Amino acid sequence: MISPTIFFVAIVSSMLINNVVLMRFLGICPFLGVSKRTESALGMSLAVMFVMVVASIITYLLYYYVLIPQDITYISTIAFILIIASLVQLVEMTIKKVSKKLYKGLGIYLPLIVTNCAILGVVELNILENYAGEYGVFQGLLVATTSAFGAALGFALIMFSFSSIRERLDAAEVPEAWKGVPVSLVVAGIMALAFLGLGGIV
Amino acid sequence: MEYLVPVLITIGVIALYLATYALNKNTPAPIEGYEKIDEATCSACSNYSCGIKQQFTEDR
Repeated sequence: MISPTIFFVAIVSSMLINNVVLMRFLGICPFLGVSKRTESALGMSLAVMFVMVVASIITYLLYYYVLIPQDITYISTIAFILIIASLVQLVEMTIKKVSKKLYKGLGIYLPLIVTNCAILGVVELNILENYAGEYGVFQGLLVATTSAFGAALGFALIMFSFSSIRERLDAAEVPEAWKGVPVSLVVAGIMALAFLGLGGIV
Repeated sequence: MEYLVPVLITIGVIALYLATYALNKNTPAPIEGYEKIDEATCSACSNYSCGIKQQFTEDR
């Protein structure tokens, strides 16, 4: 039986210390592209959170129950990309049918997730971390899922805080040459430095 | 023969993607689901397969 501390450490580690955006530099495209408004950032974060967790579960099971027994782990990246893309299509289709309100909130951002490398990055990291070797396949799945959830929370935290800062930057007096993306990149750099200070907590 | 299983799995996931894509395309979107988006937000996005972006491009 895994100690609850393991899950706590997995969430804190992937959310704050190894943040996908600021520490691993994954998902920079939505980080800069969909962070102009807080509403958009939250919609994107929710969609990413759902797909990241579900994709982690499916790819983990595929890897340990199909690819490893057949000794064909070299096709894992292709398989993972296509599974993430299929999952996004399924999620979008389900949302279209089930909840019009949710589609209004997330529908526009769902197709963007296919191009979000943070999803593929987290899925690959779950395999590289070798949770199955450490805790067994089933309990490793729980830890991997928790870690993916933490990474998604970290993504949402960064998207929300960065979009809030950008909204304020629009009203700030910034030199002409620094307006827009340049000042946003400087802010992102300062945020990354701040998160670097969290290293060593766990 | 050793390449048969990876080829079949690859074909399988490609077929899965094509099937889900076709199903999604054939599912009508709720009309009230479309939200008015400002052009600046749309132009910042790089997803050229997005219907809304294509609409913006055509309008120009």
